[in-house]
Amino acid sequence: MESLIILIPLALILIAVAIKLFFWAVDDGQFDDLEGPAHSILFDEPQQIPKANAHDHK
Amino acid sequence: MTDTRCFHCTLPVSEPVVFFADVEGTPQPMCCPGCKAVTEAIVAGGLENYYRHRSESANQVTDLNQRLQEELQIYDRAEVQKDFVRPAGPASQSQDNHLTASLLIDGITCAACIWLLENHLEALAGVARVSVNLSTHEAQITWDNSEIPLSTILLEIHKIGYQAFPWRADQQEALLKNENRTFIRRLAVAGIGAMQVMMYAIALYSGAISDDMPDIYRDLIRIFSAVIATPVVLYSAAPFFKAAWRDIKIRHLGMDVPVSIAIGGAYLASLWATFSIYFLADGSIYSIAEGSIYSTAEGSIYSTAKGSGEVYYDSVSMFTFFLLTGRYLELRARHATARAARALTNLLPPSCLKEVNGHYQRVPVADLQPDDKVRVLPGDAIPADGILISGSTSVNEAMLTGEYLPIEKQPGDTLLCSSINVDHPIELKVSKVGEETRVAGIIQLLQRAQQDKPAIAKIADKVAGWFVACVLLVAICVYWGWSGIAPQDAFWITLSVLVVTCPCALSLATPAALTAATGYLHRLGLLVARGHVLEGLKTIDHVIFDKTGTLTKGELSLSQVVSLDNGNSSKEALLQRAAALEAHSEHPIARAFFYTVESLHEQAHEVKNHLGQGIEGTIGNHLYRIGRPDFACPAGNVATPEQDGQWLLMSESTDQKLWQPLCWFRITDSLRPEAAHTIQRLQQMGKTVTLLSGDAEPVVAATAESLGIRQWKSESSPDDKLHYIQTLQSQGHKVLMVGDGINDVPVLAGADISMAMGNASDLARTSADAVLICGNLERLADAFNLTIRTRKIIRQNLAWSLGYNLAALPLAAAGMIAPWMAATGMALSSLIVVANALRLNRPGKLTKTPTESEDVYAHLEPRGAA
Repeated sequence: MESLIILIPLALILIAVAIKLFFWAVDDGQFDDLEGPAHSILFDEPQQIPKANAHDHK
Repeated sequence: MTDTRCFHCTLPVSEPVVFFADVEGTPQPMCCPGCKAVTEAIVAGGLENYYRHRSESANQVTDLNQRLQEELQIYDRAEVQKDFVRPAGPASQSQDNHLTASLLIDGITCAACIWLLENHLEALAGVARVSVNLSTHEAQITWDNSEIPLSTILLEIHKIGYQAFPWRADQQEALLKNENRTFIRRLAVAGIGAMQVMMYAIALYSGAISDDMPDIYRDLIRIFSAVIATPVVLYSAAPFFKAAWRDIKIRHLGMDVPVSIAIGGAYLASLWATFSIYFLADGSIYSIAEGSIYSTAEGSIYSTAKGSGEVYYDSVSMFTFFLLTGRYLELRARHATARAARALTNLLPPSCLKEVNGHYQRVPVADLQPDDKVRVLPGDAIPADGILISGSTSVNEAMLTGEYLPIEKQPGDTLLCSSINVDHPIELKVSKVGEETRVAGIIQLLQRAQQDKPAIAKIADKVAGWFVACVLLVAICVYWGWSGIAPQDAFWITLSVLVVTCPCALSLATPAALTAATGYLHRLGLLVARGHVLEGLKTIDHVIFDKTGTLTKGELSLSQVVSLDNGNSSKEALLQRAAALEAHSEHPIARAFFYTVESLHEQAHEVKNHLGQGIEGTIGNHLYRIGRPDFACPAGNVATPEQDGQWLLMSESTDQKLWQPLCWFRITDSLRPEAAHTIQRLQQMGKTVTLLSGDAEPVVAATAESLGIRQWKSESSPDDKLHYIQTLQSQGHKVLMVGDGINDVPVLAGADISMAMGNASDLARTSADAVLICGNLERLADAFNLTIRTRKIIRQNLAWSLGYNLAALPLAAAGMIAPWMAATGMALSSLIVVANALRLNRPGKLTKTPTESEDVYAHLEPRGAA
């Protein structure tokens, strides 16, 4: 039981770190799109397309 | 109709399929050149994967043209770019030419669109980084300005079937973003806090049940629970306190008041229970607690053997977290609609051709000054009020007046801003710009109407006020009652009453249902832009339609052919000849023929266009004229048929002198195929349907009759229309207005609920409460049905949560509910409410649109290439 005296404050520090990390992620814009990333992981990597000159498309 | 569908946009394609595009070696059917071009562009970029991964079909695409390219080039100008383009990265870096633009992309339907856009654009030389946000449809594009101009990037976006607009990140947008981020932070603090405190709570409960936890550990856990719960209450729950304070100040009992009392009360009580022992050193609290009824027997549910009351940190945190989750869902729905509404205002890149030093240059409309000379091409909107100085044409003023036929204009005539030039290129001298134009006048009327708009009371607020009053009353009674029986317990029991009756489920009951219903309607193609629509629809007893563009398609079509030829030629042959002549004209009337005749078998030669009169030409060895009766038959010996609409006469001649009438063609604005059925459904629901139009009386009367509308009013100005609905409202009616034109805007603003068609003028769409994006009127009737279902669900939710609270109340008042029971009950009831609301997402009975084959001319519909 004595270990609680160390473990509980330790948990508190971990929570503080977790919240700090979370705030950083929010400020970084990682939560601005909650739908897109969930899908984008399903797409294959694009095949290497040679960089086309934009003027060729005209 | 066949089952062939366009590979790109999945709209049905009529046989025989004319357009094909090769995808992975297989020719796929295409509905129009626009979709074909897009598919080919996607395949050429090696991005066929899009078609494999997409979960929604793409939007149909319109053709690219020279004009679009010119318009996009306006965005290369630095003064235009300053709104939405900024340098990429810090200025100190050497990448001087790298810029980042914020764009709003229209046409995104699913995650595959994001993939397609990002991969297609990043393959362009000079484009450094592209990221597209699926929720907001906002794109950030970083590119090297010395390698590729922005207009080319925009053009590439158009090539794969999307539309890009500058996203002016204004104050309102920054506000939305900030609100969203702050909310996620609050949610995170509450969520992490709730999890941790609940873990401690398990220890506390098990310690209390087995009764072997030393006091020091119990106190330690309590103190740390308090430390974690404090930011949850002070930071995460702050919006509730603020809202409650606002409610109290305006003397209005909302849902936030009991929420705040519960959170604040439970938190303060827990603090007291945790820390009072240290202040009251003589242990007087201990003695009181030991003397209380709860600590006497092992049957006690409170663990206050040697304490100063119970701690509720876990309940407080979890309650805050649940409520915030509900509010966050609401906030997201609100943001999505706010964005959609704002996107509509961003959709016009207004530009015009202004004369500068003898040449016409494309400039932003905002640059125009009175006395400038402007050239307007056919199909373009007139950029400002002005006087026609050269060229003669006809203009379509339907958006301003409701008149569906184009009006002829000669030099010297007045032209109105926002009307559409139909026939020929013209030049005009600007007389009024901006605020002084006729359109701006209508906008002022709109603002006046908005101020008078009647408010719709929200059901949740009414219940909340009543509920809050009850809870407070009961709490007072309980406190008063218990202070007579056991004064030392009165405070704790009163508190448990407040916690147990925490209206978590109650406050989620309405928003959860409304959010689900709004989302469902959006998928059907009805965008709800303002919150009161769903709750307000049930009170509507009057539905008012505009005619042109709302009940009708707003485009001319051929509706009747009357042969005068005594059967010498078939109607089909006559139609062929007329179409051959009209193929040489750009007039909307000519387009009506173009869409009616599938393929031309005859060719007209030596075609002469007599402006405002008609067309003359040779087919075979006969001369033909088609147009106004006095033009086609100068002798004037034919009587015009009596039915309304515009009648065109076709005549034949061998010697240019004697014209023999052949055939009448009736041109009308065709009704939407589903209009009659929708109106019938609305009338069956007991709504009064009225037709209110600015168009001429015979046309309006005929439309009303064919749709079974008994009440109608023609030739109404925007003022008349507004007055009409205000009269209805003063008689106690609730009015829904459906319209599309600029002339409908004041009425849309003044009606209890307003709905604009998807192809309506931008102004109408932004001022309406809801936008019928899909253009299918049946969805309106579906929305009424959904409202009834939503109302049922809301009632069930309210009944359940009220029932739960009322059942728990006496138990809590009798002191029989432990905190963990209250917490579990609260969570369960919230989940039940949310799950019940989600039932609205299940497709109910939807009325199918009458299949297109029922509409005579539908198979000749323009397929995007218009």
